[in-house]
Parts: sequence; structure tokens; C-alpha cells
Amino acid sequence: MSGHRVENFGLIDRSRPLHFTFDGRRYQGFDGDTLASALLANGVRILGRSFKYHRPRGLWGAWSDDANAILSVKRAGTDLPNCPAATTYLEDGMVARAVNAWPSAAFDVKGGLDLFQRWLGAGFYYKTFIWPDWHLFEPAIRQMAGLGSVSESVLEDYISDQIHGACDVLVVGGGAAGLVAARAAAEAGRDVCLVDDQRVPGGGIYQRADIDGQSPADWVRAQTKAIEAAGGRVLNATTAFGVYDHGLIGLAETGLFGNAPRLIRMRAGRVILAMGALDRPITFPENDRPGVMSLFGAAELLARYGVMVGRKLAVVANHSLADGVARALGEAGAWIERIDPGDGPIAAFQGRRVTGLKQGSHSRVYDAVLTSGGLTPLVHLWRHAGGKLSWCDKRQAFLPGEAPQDMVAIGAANGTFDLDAALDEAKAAATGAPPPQGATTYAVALLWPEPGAKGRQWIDFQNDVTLKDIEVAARENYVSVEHLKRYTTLGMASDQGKTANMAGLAAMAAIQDRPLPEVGTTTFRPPFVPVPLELYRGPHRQQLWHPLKRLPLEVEHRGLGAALGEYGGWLRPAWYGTGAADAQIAAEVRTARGTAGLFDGSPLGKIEVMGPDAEAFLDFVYYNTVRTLKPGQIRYGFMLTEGGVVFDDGVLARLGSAHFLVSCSSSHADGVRVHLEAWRQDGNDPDRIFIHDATQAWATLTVTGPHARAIVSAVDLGIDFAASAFPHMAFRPGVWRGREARVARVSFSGDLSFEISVPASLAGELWGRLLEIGRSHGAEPIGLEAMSVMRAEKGYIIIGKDTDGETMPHDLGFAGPRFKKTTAFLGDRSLHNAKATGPGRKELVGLKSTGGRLATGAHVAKAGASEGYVTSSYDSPTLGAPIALGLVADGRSRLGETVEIRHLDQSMAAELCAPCVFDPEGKRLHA
Amino acid sequence: MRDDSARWDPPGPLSFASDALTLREVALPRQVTISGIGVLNRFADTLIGWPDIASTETYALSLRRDRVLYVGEPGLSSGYDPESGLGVTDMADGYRVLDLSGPGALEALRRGAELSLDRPSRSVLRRVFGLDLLLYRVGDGQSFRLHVERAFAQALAAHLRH
Repeated sequence: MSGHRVENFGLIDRSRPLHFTFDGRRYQGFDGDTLASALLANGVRILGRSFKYHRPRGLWGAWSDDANAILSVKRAGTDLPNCPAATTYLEDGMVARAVNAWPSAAFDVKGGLDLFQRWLGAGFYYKTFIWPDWHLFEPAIRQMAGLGSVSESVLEDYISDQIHGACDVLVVGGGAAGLVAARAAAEAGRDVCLVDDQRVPGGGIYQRADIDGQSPADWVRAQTKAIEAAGGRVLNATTAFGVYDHGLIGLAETGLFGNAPRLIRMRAGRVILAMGALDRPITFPENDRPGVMSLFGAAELLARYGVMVGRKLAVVANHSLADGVARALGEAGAWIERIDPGDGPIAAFQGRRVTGLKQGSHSRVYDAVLTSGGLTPLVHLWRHAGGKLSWCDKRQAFLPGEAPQDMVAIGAANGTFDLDAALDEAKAAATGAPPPQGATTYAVALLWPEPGAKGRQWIDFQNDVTLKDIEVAARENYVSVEHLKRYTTLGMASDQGKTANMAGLAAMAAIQDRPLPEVGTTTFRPPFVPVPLELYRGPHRQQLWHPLKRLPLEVEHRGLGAALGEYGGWLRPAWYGTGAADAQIAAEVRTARGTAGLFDGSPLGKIEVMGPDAEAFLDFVYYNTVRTLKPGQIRYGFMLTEGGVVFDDGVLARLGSAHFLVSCSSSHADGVRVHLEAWRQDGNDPDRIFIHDATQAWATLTVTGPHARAIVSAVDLGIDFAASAFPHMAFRPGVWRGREARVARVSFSGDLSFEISVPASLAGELWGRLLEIGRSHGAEPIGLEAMSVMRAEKGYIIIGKDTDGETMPHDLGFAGPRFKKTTAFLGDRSLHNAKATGPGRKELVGLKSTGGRLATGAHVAKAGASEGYVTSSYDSPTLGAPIALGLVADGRSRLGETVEIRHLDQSMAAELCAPCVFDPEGKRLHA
Repeated sequence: MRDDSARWDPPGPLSFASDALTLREVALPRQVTISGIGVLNRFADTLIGWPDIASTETYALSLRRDRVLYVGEPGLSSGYDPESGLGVTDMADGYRVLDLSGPGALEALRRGAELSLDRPSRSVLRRVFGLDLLLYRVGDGQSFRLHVERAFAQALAAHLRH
């Protein structure tokens, strides 16, 4: 193939030369070129290597149907792998290299693999390298596999913008039919958006000499101008890559090299698909040689880029459209010979590039062989949307059949290859009129792969799938098209079957002697063409990938030197100070146990439940009895799932006869709100129960420790904090800075504690006051880690840490309501089934180790099997010894028993004990 | 157990201004969640949906068929009121309120949500950039008011500044 430029053809700007390199050699192209067209114009034949055998590959198609030329491209500090040469527009200074080839595509040291092809057929890796161990071979195979390599440098500015859009009519494809449909719809007053994946719309129209008496370029400009004049939008360089639910179309708008594409989530009332059709390869021996390429691809290279792919061309085609294309190539200066594949089997000469063809006893020399085995309508988006396909014998192709809602296919995408008919179809689609019926002039002769034929005949150029591979798959009963794909890799990787699938399906049909439509197609899934993962990520990165909830007092905590960490979706102080974490945490525990700790508990759930049925509702939702709770009282309790498993724990305060405050665990507030709302609407009168989540309206500051009462009493909240006036598990309203304050005497530390909730905007003042008063008592701020240690000393659980997906309340020692509660409650039935009442349930226990701190997650082992595990483990500064909680089979009846704890091949002994090892009598709690 | 303080920017001012966009924090006197039968009718005179323009000092944002967020003093005490059959919760500190204006305001919001002035909704509740917002218009209709849960205000401002 001796590609060269032809004067007076193409849309490129010849006044703007661009310089680039490919595999280390310098070349020149023009503005408007793609990397592929520029390389062909420079006479470069081999643009890549195949995936498995490293066979030389030239260009097959002129746009997204080419899967052979894949390059790594660098420019201005940006290094991107796997850029399709046929769809990457040339820019000055590009440095391109073929992927999967070293040192160059022209000379690849791995090309020798082709000599071993008889041992590397379909599924070879399933059959070989088994002995002695696949893992011995795996690294080397993985090293050799794959296409381009991701650069080690991070592209900081490679960020996809994302935006939502909407239109009445979305036209996908800016060829002649798409342009006419968009114009007609826009002029009918519809809000129209036309998208085309090339920078210059028009599809294949530039292959024609004229249209409606105008040059194709003038005609296209006139159409786009008319669309925009009627209020429509034309988005060039924008690919519709997928159809999703409810008319949502994913659009990728590409810009200059190195800029991440922009994602447009387009909601369209109606979609007109005018994506055209692809040329099909013809299967014959050595049909993968560089220089064997698509007939329409060659015509497009001439029409758009002024590149003639060779000087002496063979045109091998089986349909009626080929003659016109061949004639146009001839008129542009090429020597053309038309070969009818029906006259006998053909084969390309062997060699690194195509040099000629044999047909029967005749051999002829060419520098390029242009093939076309018929046209395949692009139905990918149609199938994404759930549209059906129907087989057309006349066109030997799958055409759009039963339509998905609000979608229509027109033009070549609908099998309408005659231009006039396609334009009539476009006008009808634009207005919703029925499509005109007419006979097609397109005629195609049967020409499918012939199983058993001699020679290596390529079906999938990118993945090195040959006709023999299809035969092997059929022999081994991988006859389903989905199995065929996975076994042989047919239609995988970036091509996704655009060029390979029809031949592969036809081969399988022939092997099985079944009609091709019975074999069917594989599933079409987005994206239609490869898109960078960045497109999906967009601005959802770093701190915005999963934003944490931020405390009202974060600035104050940072000022105190807090180490912040994520806890249940909130950024919270883990500990304070710059010393070693363990030492800081231990000091905080000692301070809290000695005087008092000041703790920010703002994330605690604060969900208000109100209404005449609130009491009955909560009595049903809670495991514990609620109806006996009096205003001003607080009760600890569990919410269960229908399966009886503990969903959340927390305290419930009764603020009034029909007003409750659910203070659920911090990380479960959102889940509990949803849980309550779901049950409110199921089996209850939703007009008599109201659920308001006020968690973020309040800040909750906890003072815990023996000096807690003295500290909170000094804060002017208008509350009597005397033990007799304010007992444990009581709630009192107060006032802070003229606004409501809510104080709960509850404890998670096991010590005397008060939780003071004030409006979030007033939290700073209260925190400052508590620090001032608290420090005069020796109190200091404490973080969540210290609180976790203290609650473990007391044997208090954290849901999800000390419970798992099977833990029921009686496993935690709360068996009362299960037998005594007289009203129905959520999860009740499940607490009485065989599994819930049987032996071997994992129960909460303490673990006393003599050999040091146990590992959280370590197994309680017995006779080589696990009978439980450690859920929480700390060094207790209060006890001066390690403590742990765990879930152990029948644990509560085994207290005092010594068990083996195993972790990472290490074994320790521990004694099962009661979970509570601090103030078991509760004197400090009730002080 | 890890100190991630440096991985998260300290909270800063939410307000910013650029050529196309201005974000300004607004102090509203009160915000009150009110639920109950007929609550939409009760506040029908000042009920705001999307893309309505709030042009009075006090108004009710329609959230769902039985719930509004009242901006102003509703004359109802917190808790359940048996006479009116309404549940009332003070949410003044639950949301931070921001006004977004400038020629790029709607475009900025469209980066985070599917929004159209031509597609009305009875509710002002929207998920924008993955965050639950109350969204409507104020002033001459070119500015947008956003109520965002207090804990996510920094994230919203960062998205809009992006």
C-alpha cells in the first residue's frame, strides 16, 4: 500500500501543516487530519500489531470501525494510552507510538509469536500451563498481554466536566439523513439537538460529487445553518455512547488532545438514530495483511483527508454500492481492478503487507486490496434502548425491528442505503409521520466464511480470532454466541464486534448448519466506543468523591489540635494533641475517668416522631416497650429488622404525650430515618405520625466523668442538675442564649454523663463555656477513640462492630421483651424460630487475655473451627490491662472458660468473662 | 485509626464571586418543618414549588404532599399540635441557605442536576451533585436560593466553585 495525498480532495487545511512522530520517525500532516490519515498519507503501512500473535496491522476503517491502529500519544506533558489512530485528530507536536509492539510496529520482537500459532489457538490458556501450576506462567503471560500502558504521571488537570441537558428531539448522527431529520424537526418548532462524533458533520456524504446541486461541503453547511437558525443545536465531536433508562442518552463531547471529554447527560423526548452502517470484512486467507482494508474506509479517507490508500487497487465486493465507490476512487487517479469474489476463492499473498491476490489460477499484484462484504447497520444504541432486531435476507443484515419507546432509526442505520429514500425517511421521522415504504436498490450476494476452508482466515483482526478458532469453539460446544465470545475473545476489547461479529456469527451458523438469525447476536452494552473512565468520574473526586458530613465545631476542634477521621460518614475528632495516638487516647480516658471529658456528640441521631399514633408506632418499631415511657423519661432500646436482627440501638426520649425524640447511633441516623419512614407508610395511618429528622439542626456536647455535674451546673441552662432532680435516663429542657436547649442524662462511657443539645449555630459558645469551666475542674476534650475505649470497659456495644448480620437482642443479653412484651413489634416472630432459639448462637461476652491485647477480628478457635470472634479490643488505661468484647457461640453460659484465640497463625489464650469490666454495680453511672 | 485532618480542607466561607457566578450566604430568621394533612392548602398563598420565585419575606416551601418548610414565623409551637393536627420542628439551624446568582447560575446547577425552568415541580426538593437541596428562585428570577443540610454546605460550595 503506497498511501499518498491527492490534490483537490479532502476537508483538511493544507495551509496549516502539523508535525508529529510515530515510532520515533518524524512526519507531517495537516490540520483536519487524524493520526491515521496523516500516517497513510506519509506511506506508513503498518500502524500496529495484533493482540495475540503480534501480526502486523494496517488500517481497516477510516473512523471508529478501525480496531487495528491503536497508539499511545504524548503531547505537552500529557501521555494517553490506547488512542485510536482513526479517531484521534492530529495536533502539532504529537509523539505517537504503537501499543503492543516493541521497538516499533514495523519491527516487533514479539512478532515471532506467530510461529507458535498452532499452539495458541482459542482457549489455549484454559488447556495449557496447568502443570505444574498456572501461577508460574501467569506473570509472563500477563506481561505480554494487554494494549497500551497507563503513564506513571498523574494528569492533575484531566477532569471531565459533566452537565445535564434536555431536548425534544435528539438526532444521533450528522450524515445526510441525520441533518435532514434535524432540520425538519427544528423547523417544525421542536427543540432539536443533533450530535455527530466527527468535528465536521456530514457522514459519508463527502464521497459524493454533489448533492441537490451543491458540493457536499456547501450542502452540509446549509443544513447546519438552517438547524441553528430554527433554534436547534449542533454538537460536533460528540459521541452518543449509550442509551439508559427513561430517554437518557450519554454524550461524550471531545475537545483538543489532552482534555478530558465532557459528559452530557441528555434527556431526550424522542431519539432519531441516524448512525449509518459499517463495512463488513470479507474472510479469505491472509485477509489481515496491512493493505487489505475497507472499501468505504478508503473512500472516506479520500473524501475527508485527501488520502489515496494506494496506486494499484483491487476492489473485492459483493454488493451493488461497490461499483460507484470504485468508480470514484478511479476518477481520483487510482488504478482499479474489480474482483468478484463469487468467481472463486481468493487469497492474499503472504508477507508483511499485502502485495497481491490469487483467485483460482490467476495471481495479480496490487498495493492495496479494498474489500466490502456488505453493510451492517449500526444498531448499538437501538439495542441499548431495548429495541428488537429483525433479519433481512435481502440485505443480509440485522435491521432495527420492533422499536423501543420514543426512538426511530433512519437511513443506513435502518438499512435504507439509497440516499433519496433515506432523506424521505428522515423527513417523515422528524414529524412523526409513518416511514415511506419503498423497494431498496441495494443488492448483496451471499458471501460468508466457509468452514473448513484452507489457510488462516481472520474473523477478528484485533483479537486474532480466526475461522479455525470458531470451528474449535463449535467442536468444544461453545456454540452460544455469548459463550463463543468469551471462549475465543471474538468481539472483545475496543472493537466490541463492530467489524468482527457478523462474520463470526455467520461462521458459527454455517458450522451448525443453522440460519444466521437463529444464532443471534451478543448483547450490546454501552459504551458504543471506548470512553475514558474519567468521563464517569467527573468532579466527583478527592474530597467531593464521597463528601463527609462536617461538624459545626470543626474549626474549634482543629484549633485544639484534633486528629480528625471518618466515623460513620462524619469527620470527627479521633483524639486531640500531637503526641503518639495511643498515648493521647489513654490520657484522654484517664482524664475523663478522673475528672471529666468534653465530647462532641453532634452526629447522634435526633429524629422527632410526633402525632396521635406516635406512641403506638414506636411501640411497634422498638423491641422495648414504649407505651410505659413517661414524658421526661429516656429508655435505651433496640430497633430490629423483620428478621429479628438488631438494626440499631439508641435512646428514646419522650418529650410530650405525642412527641418523641429518637436518638439513634451516629452513623445510622440516615438509615433509621428511612427505616422509620418506611414503616410509617406501611400498616400505619401516615396522617397520624410525622417523622422529622432534626439531627443537623442541633449540636450535642457531652460532659462525662465524675465532675460532670459540677461542670454542667455551672453553665447557665436553667436546669436543676441535682441527682434527685435529674436522675439517670431523664430528659430536661433548658435554655441557652435565649433558645431551647435539650439535656439528656444518658451515658455511653459508663460514667455520670450529660448530653447537652443546642441549636447548631450556638454550639461554639457552649463549647467555649464548657472548656472554660471544665478546665477549671481538670477536664479536657476527648475524641471518639477514648469514648470507644470507655464504652468497651463498660461493655456497651457499637452496632455493626459488636454485632453482625445475625445478632439478635437476646444474644446481647436483652431477652426480656422477647417473652414479656404483650404488643406486637417488628421482628417478634423471627425471635422465636428454631434458629433464634437454638443452641450455638453467638453471644456477647468479654474476653480477658493474659498474653496481651487481642486482635480485633481474631477467631475464637475450637478443634480447628471458629466458634466466634473478637469484635472490639483495647488496652484499658482504667484497668491497666487489655480488654476485649466478642461474639462467641453460647458465650454467656461459658463464662470462666479459657478459649483459644487464633489470628494469623498465632495462638493466645483468653478467658470468657462478663462484657462489663468497669463499675459493674453502676454506682458511677447513677452518681 | 488515622489522622486524616490534612486530607480535608478546613471549613471556610461559603460565599464567593466570579465573573459568571456569585454565591452568597443568606441569614433567614426561621425555618420550620411542618407536616400534616392539608398543610399545602394551609399555606397555599405563599407556597413555593419549582421554579417559583419567592418574592415575600415569609413563604412555605413545598416539600411533599404533607410537608412544607416554612420560612418565617408560622405561629405554631414546636411538637405536635392536636388542634391543627400538625407536627412542627424548628429547623433554623438544620439548613444553611445560599443565594446563587450571575449569568452562569443555572448552568452551574445543571452540572449537578437535571433542571429546567420549563419543567415545573410541586416540590422544591432536588438532588444536586448528590446532595439533597431545597431549590427555588428569588428576586428577579435570575437568582436561585438553595437550602442545604448544614453538614454538607462545604461540599455544595466546593461543587459550585469547581
